[in-house]
Amino acid sequence: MTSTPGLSRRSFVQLGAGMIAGVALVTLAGCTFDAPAGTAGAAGTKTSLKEAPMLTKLVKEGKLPELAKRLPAKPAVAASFGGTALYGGTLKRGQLDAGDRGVMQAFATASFVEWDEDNRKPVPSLAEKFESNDDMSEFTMTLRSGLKWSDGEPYTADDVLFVMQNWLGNKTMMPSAPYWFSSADKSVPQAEKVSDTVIKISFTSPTPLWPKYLSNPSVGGQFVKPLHYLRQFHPDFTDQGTVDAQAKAAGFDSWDKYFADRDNTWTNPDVPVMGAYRVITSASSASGTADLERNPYYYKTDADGRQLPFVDRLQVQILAQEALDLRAANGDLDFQAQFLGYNTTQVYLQNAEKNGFHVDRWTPAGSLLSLCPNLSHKDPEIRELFSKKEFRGALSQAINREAINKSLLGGLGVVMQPVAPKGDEYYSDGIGKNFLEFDADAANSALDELGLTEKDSNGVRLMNSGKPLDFVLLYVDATTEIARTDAYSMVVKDLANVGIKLTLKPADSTLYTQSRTTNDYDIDGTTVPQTKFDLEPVWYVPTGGNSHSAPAFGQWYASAGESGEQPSADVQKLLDSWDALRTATSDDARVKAGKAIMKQHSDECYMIGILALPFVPVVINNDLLNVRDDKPELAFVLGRERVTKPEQLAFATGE
Amino acid sequence: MVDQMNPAALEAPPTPRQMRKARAQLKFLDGTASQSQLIRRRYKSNPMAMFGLYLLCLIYFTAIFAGFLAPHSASSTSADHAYQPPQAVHFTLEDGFFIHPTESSTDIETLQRVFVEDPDVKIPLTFFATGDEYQLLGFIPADVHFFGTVDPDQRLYLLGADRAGADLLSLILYGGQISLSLGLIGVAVSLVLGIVIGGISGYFGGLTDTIIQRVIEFIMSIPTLPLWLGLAAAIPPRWGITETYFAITMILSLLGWTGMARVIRGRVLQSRGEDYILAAKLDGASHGRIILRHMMPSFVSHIIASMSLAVPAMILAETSLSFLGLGLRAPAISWGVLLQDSQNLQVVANAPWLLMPALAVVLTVIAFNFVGDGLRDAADPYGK
Repeated sequence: MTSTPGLSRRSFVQLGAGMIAGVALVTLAGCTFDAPAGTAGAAGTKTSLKEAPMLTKLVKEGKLPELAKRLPAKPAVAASFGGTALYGGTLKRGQLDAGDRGVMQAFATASFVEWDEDNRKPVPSLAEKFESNDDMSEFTMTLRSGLKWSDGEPYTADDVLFVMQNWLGNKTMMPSAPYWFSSADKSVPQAEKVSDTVIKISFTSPTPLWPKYLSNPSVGGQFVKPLHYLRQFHPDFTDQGTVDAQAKAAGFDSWDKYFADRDNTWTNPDVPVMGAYRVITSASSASGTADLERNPYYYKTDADGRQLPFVDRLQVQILAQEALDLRAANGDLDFQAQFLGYNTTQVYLQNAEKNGFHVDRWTPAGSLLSLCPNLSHKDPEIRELFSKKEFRGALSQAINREAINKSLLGGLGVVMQPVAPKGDEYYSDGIGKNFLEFDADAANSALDELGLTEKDSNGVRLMNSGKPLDFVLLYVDATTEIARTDAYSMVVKDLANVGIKLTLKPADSTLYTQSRTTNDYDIDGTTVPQTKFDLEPVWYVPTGGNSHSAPAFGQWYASAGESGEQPSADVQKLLDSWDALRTATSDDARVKAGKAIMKQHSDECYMIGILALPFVPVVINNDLLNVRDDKPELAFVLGRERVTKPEQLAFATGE
Repeated sequence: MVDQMNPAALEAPPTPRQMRKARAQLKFLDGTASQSQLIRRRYKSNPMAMFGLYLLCLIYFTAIFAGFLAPHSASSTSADHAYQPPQAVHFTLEDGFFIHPTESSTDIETLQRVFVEDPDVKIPLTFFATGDEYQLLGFIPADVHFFGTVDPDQRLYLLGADRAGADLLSLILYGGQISLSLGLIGVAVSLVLGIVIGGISGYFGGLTDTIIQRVIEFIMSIPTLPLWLGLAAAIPPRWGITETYFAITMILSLLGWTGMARVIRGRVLQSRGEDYILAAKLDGASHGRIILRHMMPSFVSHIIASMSLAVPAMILAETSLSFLGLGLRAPAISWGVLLQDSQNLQVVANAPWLLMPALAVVLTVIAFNFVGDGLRDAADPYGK
């Protein structure tokens, strides 16, 4: 490594530019805003501002009410990961797909409750208080008084009622409520308005997970919808004929699709929001760039009462993977974790110093490449084989994970089985160690003991019926993380050594999803998330037809026995534990049920883990302050970059 | 006198080869040379075309004997050699050819793969080395390789290694087998169909022409994307990637002949009314003879030109249907797949040798174009 010069040319230029900008601003402030005379230096003036200069200007012009009238009576105080900060600047990001709403989830979500700093438990956010009764079947929520939408309209209990009754309770938009919105008997929760700010929400059964679901930005964000704007598109408030005519005129088949389109904060710039940013230009425009601007009515401040967010604007470019990698390496992206490829980290690191950014290493969630044998296989003989622990164990032991690690990740990867990791509340000592060691001899003798001793001319073992052990591994190929085809090709060789033939079938995602939901596959190759499994249980418990391990059993569970196939005793045990978990009346009972699920997975090896990434790269502009540096988890259920509370990010130079 | 003796008498009698040459020469002079002789002579006189032909033969030779020429089998990888840069081959009189072994490690800070050469250890290389087993020409089991390490367990990376530690040279040689065959069969099928059906349509005209043209229009109107989607779902999962790709190219070529047929039909229609065709008809020539013998020469240059353009397009389009699960993808090995895999920032910045398959594609495309160009000129031996 070369030594770092004391002051590089680039940082010198930046410093200079920053000083000039700072001086210019202060001059400007002095002229127009009656800044208190005689305060300390430039930074002192600016860090004592309570709102962004761009908003102060609008207030002076009479286009915006003053700050006190925009903030709620008791603003939410955002956790801080740094020191004092300046207002202003544009944060640049990139993404691969114009329709992807990850930016909104990460940067611009507002929900009743959100994750606390440690990402362990929900804390009130839009709500000032969020309480449950003793058996967690009834939740009483007190909204902050004086909350306002980004267009200045008040946010009240009526907006919440609208979501609970006219959206969640509407049979057209919500024909069957998903489990994260519903009670154990699949009924949607009932909402009752107690006062303008107090709402009571009741389920027919204990629902201890509901606050956690609400903290997931992609779920919680859906519960915040502006009644005053959306009422014109909803037949409960506007004449059905008018609603249908509007939908038709806009080119939609039915009113509910038009409603969903109008409700989409990422593509519709007109819809008022509660989050930190609102879209000005959507990404579907010709430029392929989305522009977001601060919400002047945002309800959060820092500890000193300064309104957030600090950064004025976000700019999100839609790019191909190579272009995104290049822009990141060039330092053109200010803060980016999602969409960056692990395999390009070396290039980011090579360019970081000269292009003014640094690369943090966050904890990956859901990067563990795994094999999921289909426990509800259509062929009874294969189903019986897959349902045997000894067989799954033999598959697992036959894989030389260290060789795959050495080859694809230079030995840096983490070898493990898919269970809750240490630190997760569902972890218990000793789980995740079964069948992890490479032992081809043990695998061979286990297969022999199962009676699979006959072999065909190619050395492939035969089942009792005379059919060879020839399975198709279905997966969607990807190379940005662990190159899946490379890894699975090595698994193919390892399994061939113990007399099992595996054929790789990389499929496009539509075909992949379709094959899974129709129960038409042998083994599914996928990455498995490990922490907070209760928020997305489908990986560990077949709760629906989209299960990776047993879609037919999942279908049975989701339809209450109307379709699909009756689960095997093993899987039923998982489902029973899951029912106990989601209707537990105490945290202890819930955690106990979750640990039972993990223990069963560890013992039975339903999913065969191969390799996980050691970290995920995060590209951060050196000028960007307040990014947490404690290696947080980059997880979908946490809103990905949301873990660093992006509203309190700020540029060192401000504007 | 020795000086006045006929010099020819002193030379050995002419070899059969020289006599054949002389006879052919005579034919050109007295105007009795056949069309194909004229074409061959014209083609041979074009140095670029000959170069293209030799190059093409060489490329096909390497593809056919890939197993023998490649130092390793296509599926053999080495975890210790992922992203191994190309190795330098050393030569001394006492040791012959040899390379130094490398030890790889990954720097945790920079994530760089560091390869340290051990200059004290020599891995001897040899011609006709014993190594991975393969099937010569697809059915002769063999394990002798043209050039490789003496110890079959050692690895040789003349062009470097890919991300799984497979030898790139071997991959390129094996990749040619698919790239130079499957797609080209598709091109040939649509060419033959186009000539035959288009020829019939234009030559006979009338009801035949109307029916064929309506069928062509029907085929052209089938939307391709839904068709591919349907095929993607219909193809049995145990079919390998190459079988799938072959089936798709065949189906596509069964649909793709329509453009060629239209052009041929137009040319046949045009020449049908010419006097020399009438003369041939009056001489009692059969329909087939008239089409192939009398009409074809007038548009063969067009066919050759469009075919020599279709071949490189096919090689480059190998991977274009991959997003539907129909194109070629890893673990199949072809030049298109190798190039597809190398299209990322990591490779361009840190493993540029993985772009080498592009050179193979460029050479092949150039060779095909030179050959096509020469054939087009030669097809009209009376032209300037």
